[in-house]
Amino acid sequence: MMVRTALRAAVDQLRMQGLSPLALLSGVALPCVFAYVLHSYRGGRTDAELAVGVAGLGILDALVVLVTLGFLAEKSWKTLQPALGSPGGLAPIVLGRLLGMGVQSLLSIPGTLVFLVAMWGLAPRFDWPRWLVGTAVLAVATTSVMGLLGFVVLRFPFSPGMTNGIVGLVLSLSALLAPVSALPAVLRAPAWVLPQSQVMAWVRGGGTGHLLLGCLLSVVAAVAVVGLIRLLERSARRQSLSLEA
Amino acid sequence: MEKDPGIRTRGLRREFTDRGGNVRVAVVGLDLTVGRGEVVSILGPNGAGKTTSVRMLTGLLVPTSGEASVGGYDVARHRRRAALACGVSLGGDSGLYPRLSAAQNLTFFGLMYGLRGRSLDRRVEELLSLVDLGDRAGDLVGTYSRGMKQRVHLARALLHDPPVLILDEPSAGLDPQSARSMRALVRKLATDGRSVLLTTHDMREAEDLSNLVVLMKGGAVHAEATPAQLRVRAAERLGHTVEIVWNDDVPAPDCRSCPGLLDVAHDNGVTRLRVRSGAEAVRWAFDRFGAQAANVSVSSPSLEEVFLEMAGRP
Amino acid sequence: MSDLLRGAALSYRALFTWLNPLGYLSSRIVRPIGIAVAFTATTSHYGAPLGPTLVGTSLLAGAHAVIYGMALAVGNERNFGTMPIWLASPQNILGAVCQRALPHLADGFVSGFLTYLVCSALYRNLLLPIDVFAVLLLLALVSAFGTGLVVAGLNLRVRDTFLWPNIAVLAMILFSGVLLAPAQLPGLLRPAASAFPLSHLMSSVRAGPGLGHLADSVLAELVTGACWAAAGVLVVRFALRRRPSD
Repeated sequence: MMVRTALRAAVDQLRMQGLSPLALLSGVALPCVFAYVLHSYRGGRTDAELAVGVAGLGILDALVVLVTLGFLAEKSWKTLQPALGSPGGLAPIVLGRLLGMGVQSLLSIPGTLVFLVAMWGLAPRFDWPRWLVGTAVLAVATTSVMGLLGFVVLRFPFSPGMTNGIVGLVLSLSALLAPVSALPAVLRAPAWVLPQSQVMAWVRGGGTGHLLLGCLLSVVAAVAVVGLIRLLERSARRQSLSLEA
Repeated sequence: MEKDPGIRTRGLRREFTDRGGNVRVAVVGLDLTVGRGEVVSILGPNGAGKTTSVRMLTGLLVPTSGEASVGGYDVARHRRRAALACGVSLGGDSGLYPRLSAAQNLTFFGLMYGLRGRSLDRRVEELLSLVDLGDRAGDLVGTYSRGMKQRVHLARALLHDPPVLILDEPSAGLDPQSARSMRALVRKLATDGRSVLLTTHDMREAEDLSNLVVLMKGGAVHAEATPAQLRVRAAERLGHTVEIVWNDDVPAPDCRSCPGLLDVAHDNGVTRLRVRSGAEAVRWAFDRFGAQAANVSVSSPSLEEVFLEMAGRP
Repeated sequence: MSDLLRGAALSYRALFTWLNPLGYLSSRIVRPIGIAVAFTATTSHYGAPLGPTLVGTSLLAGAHAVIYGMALAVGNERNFGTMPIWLASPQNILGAVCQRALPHLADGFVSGFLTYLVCSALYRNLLLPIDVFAVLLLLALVSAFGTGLVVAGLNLRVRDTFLWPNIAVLAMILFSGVLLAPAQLPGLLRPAASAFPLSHLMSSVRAGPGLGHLADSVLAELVTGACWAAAGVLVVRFALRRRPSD
């Protein structure tokens, strides 16, 4: 029953927000602007590194917008309280919404590739498997990490201000457009904690270990999100935590 | 006629055009006068044009045609002066800043209405005690109950001491005791000489407070009279209700021979007759069942019945 | 004067979520620094000079705070259901939008200044002395105020609070000269770039650290800001004439 509820929540999310202008702007237009900036410096045709990095930026930005606005809307619609009172509790609804948002962010993958190909064409030996696997794992990794953002939005009253810093940190440390080595020295170690930086290291020609570590870190983030949502449920029931502020 | 009534509209009309070019008329030729010291209620089903009328009176919407003035100022040509003459309470859970305290909310709104400095602080304090929120003045409005928010809404409407008040469901969400004191406050505000326009779905509130009730339907005024007149007129169409409460050991007798009978219903030791003439039916009941009846009473249709009759009629 | 500041402070407290230590740190300090680091790392990795990018991204951080702040100062009225009350009040709405910009101008200064200090320390590169940077930042904020006024005016009509500020900021990223020199833009778009806030300041910063270059750009930047502000006045007036939606 919980899986069906979660799937239903995911489908509803797509139905409600599938093609919202802001999601399209964040998921496609913004990464394309960055692609243009990036291409101005590096030139050449579109290779897998550029395509995955730009798509990853689109996925990240789309999820930031969808998670923040989506969960804030749930708060203002006061739909979380009935969800908490339902037999499955809050988790299937929240995780289902998150799944729907993850699926919705996938639009960035073809959206940005079409732009890149139209502008600069494909490199002669474009690494399709690396592009496909890289973008897919990035989507999962980013959805898991952004689940933490969703938790902050739901847990703390008047929270949008508090979520902004998470976005800045993830954007700077995820190494989507430039490798970790381009970051200031003090930020390199924390950057490797994010699954996105591991996935991007593999896309840039690193060993399979990076990809596996990226997958593992994504799972850790996903488990943390599930645990935090359960904790949120408990706080809401035991400490009468308001889910509407 | 009064020279400068609180609210006056003549032939007020508002049309909306959708993307397909179809024109929908939300308000058709509204003529309304709310004099000083009067309370006028607008009643109507959803989509009747109440909200559009209020939006035009508060300067949020430009009328397509016709005239509307508040406090003697035309709302389209002298919007600011009209706004200063008018206090608006839209009520409900929203419409206040949840992260400000009640005092801060009122201060912020007071600044919007041109109040300044210490006089603003004094006014805020005065109004918070008027609506009985003095001891919670420093708490965030986000933590308030619906009823408390309702009182802050009213205090906000009164901030600049306007001669005209437009109140939307002022006692919605209040417990019976608070609703009664809210109604008493609205009555006092009118007695002090303010013109009050109410939009409400609460028939009791409308009946209790209003000098005049305006029934709207489909954007037009359907009927306009005092609550008593509306009920009397409705009685001519719907008949009166005669209620007979039977003594404990008496089974409800057959009442089908009652003169002018329109309808009869028995329920739990009580018989309700809907009849053309209340007086005739009461006489008939006393003549026939004087010893068996514990109580016989007659009433004309309630405002709610008047409303339902109007809302249901095509 | 005190009522002006009191109204500005109350609007900030009423309409924004970051007026607590954690929220402010997150919104106004960590986020702009994170974004500046991401921009700087990306462009410097591919060969852009570090100093101008650091200055530019810090100015952009300040400008973002003003543009988003002004947009949200209008859009959040709708979210709280207070828009009809505000618009029905006799307050001069254009004046109120400007009044509400005051805290965001201060925020923009704090945000941009700290971003410059922290990023310069992280990259060990201080292109401009901090007093010169502070002057540039003030100019950038004045210029961004004009853009903020346009976006705030649009938000009187548009229900999606974040749509226009995002578009404005996206356009600034591309055209303001922070990440790309005007020469890197397609030929047709180069003249358009000079119409964006920060573009004149960035031309001077890219030309070299001498104060002589900066002096030339001050007037051009102020004129750009004034043009945006004039456009903002028109947009607000137009939005109010059409009677804003609530």
